[in-house]
Amino acid sequence: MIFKILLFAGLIFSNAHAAAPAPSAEELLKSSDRGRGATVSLEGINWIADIVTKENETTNQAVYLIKCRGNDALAEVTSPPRQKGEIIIFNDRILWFYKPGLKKPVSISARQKLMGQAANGDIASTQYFRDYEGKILGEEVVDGTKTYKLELVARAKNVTYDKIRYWISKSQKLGVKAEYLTVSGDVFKSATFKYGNTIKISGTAYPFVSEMVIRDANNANNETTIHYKNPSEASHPTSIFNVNNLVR
Amino acid sequence: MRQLWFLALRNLSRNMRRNLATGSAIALGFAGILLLGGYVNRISNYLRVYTVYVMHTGHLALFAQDGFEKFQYKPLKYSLSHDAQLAIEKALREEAQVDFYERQMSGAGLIGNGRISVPFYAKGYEPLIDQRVQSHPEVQKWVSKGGYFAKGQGLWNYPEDLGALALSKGLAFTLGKKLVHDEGGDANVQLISGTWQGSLNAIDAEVVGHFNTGFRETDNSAIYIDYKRLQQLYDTESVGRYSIWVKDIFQTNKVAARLTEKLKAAGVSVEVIAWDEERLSPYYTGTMQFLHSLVTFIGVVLATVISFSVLNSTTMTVVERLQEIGMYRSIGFRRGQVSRMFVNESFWLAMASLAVGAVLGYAAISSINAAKIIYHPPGVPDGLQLKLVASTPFLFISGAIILTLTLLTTYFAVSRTMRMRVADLLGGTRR
Repeated sequence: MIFKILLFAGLIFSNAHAAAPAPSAEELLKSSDRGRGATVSLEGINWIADIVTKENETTNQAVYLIKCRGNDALAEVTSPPRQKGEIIIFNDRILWFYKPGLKKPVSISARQKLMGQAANGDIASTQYFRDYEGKILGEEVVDGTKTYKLELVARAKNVTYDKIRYWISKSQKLGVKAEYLTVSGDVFKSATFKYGNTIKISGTAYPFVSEMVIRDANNANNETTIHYKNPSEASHPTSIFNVNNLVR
Repeated sequence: MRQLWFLALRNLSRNMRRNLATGSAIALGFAGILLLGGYVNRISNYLRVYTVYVMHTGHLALFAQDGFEKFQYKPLKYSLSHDAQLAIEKALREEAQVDFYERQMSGAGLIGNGRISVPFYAKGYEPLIDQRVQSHPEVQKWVSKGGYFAKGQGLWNYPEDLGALALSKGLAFTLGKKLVHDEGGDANVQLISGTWQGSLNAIDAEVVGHFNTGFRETDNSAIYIDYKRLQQLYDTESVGRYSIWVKDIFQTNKVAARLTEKLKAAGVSVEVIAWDEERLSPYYTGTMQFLHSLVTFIGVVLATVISFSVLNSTTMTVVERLQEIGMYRSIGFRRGQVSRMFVNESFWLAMASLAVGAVLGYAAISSINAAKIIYHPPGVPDGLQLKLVASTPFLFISGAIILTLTLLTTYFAVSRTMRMRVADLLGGTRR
């Protein structure tokens, strides 16, 4: 009798385990996007991106205050002093650059280099769920973390990358590694992510990215690190993301 | 001796029709060569002046060591720093053969009109040097349009703080900047690019002119701006290169060697390239090589036609005049004297034909220039006028070559006959 009960319980357990559905690529991307600042709050969030780039034996640094709300974002340079006040506005996938004294803002590409290995789109336009068609390729272990390996293909021409290989941790559902590919499929840079921050949205704490290290695939010495600091919920009026307000 | 020349002149009238035919071949051939020479003279000078002056190449281009190859993708490392510029300009001022020089910058980025941004490739010059170059006598003489501004004025007409810039016509169309600053439209644009240190930067600029690059591939992206504005955009005090114009073009290579040595001694390693080197001026050298091969081919064809015409005519004349030659020999003329008489006949014929050919050639050149024919060589959007410029040295050199060919051909035609015995000559039969 005991044997039958154990057998029955075992069958139930194994069936339950087998029935747990694997997450879809969309679910994984939505979840991992949240860890990098995408659409976690209706009113908006802030964080500081401290970008340090090492290239050709020189080191440069710039600090941006990022303000996000929905599909819009604004990145303003706070340091170094000579760049202070420079602004990049992200209106959905359209980017604008403005610096004090300029007569008109300039439309720029998300793919254009912002600094070192970091493209403009890397600092705030990070909505992979919105911008890419995802497909799970399999499972891999990355630095001891069990991950799903995804292939992302751009839905539009004006996104930051054409193709991405993206590894999302199975436990936290956060992106831990990415390889950025050219149209022909060659890796031209890669990135790793750490999640040492948390952000509280409406009382709920979510893990938030603390470091993104981007490396040139052709020269490992060329490296850009984005340190994410002080992520917090905020209320941003939509007017600050209106490019027409910049030159008034 | 004088008698031989006189006899030769009189003999010319003995077979007028044949001599007219031979003379016509020489005259028309020479006129053709003069036309070809006029075309090559014009094109080679146009290209030389366009390359050296209008394109701001200078007679010499001075780069940081390896900067010619590597400046575009590693500008920070392969540009000329502020200290290097001081040393270079000191050396340039001390070099007596240097007429004037210019600091230059170049680079790429995006140019925007407040709505869209498109890629640009900019060349940065010194506006006052540009003024000097555009008004240079060589440019006035050889580049008929007087520079490349299709609309607007040169940058030197505007204050530095305006940020004057000229757009290639295709780029102006793309950006909707049909009106330039002086026409009162919105001529404001923004240039944006990464600085040489790697951060993003942008500057304002004002469109004051439109120009043709001469090449369709670059007509949608080229801009021309004060090099100082590019320094602001790329956030640097360095320059990409110097262009140097020398007083005597034949001293170009010597000046290059002296500058390289002097700067090496001052601790500045540079690379000095002459304007006619293929890597600096590939369009010029490529076109000139093509022109030279074309001229050589046509020249050989014309020389062959003239030679065969003279050979044919002289051979017939000699055969007809065997008895006359025999008679000259029998009354004591030496073989050389008789040969010389025939050669002298050809000399008179050739000289008269060359004179007629020169007149015909110059008349044809004047007619073609007066017709103002426009043709469209590859990569020249507005076309070029088919203009021929006769060259006096070419006239004399090509005339001398044709004369020599005629005389050699005549000597060749009569030399075999001169070896015949007098009796056979008097018999009038040639074996």
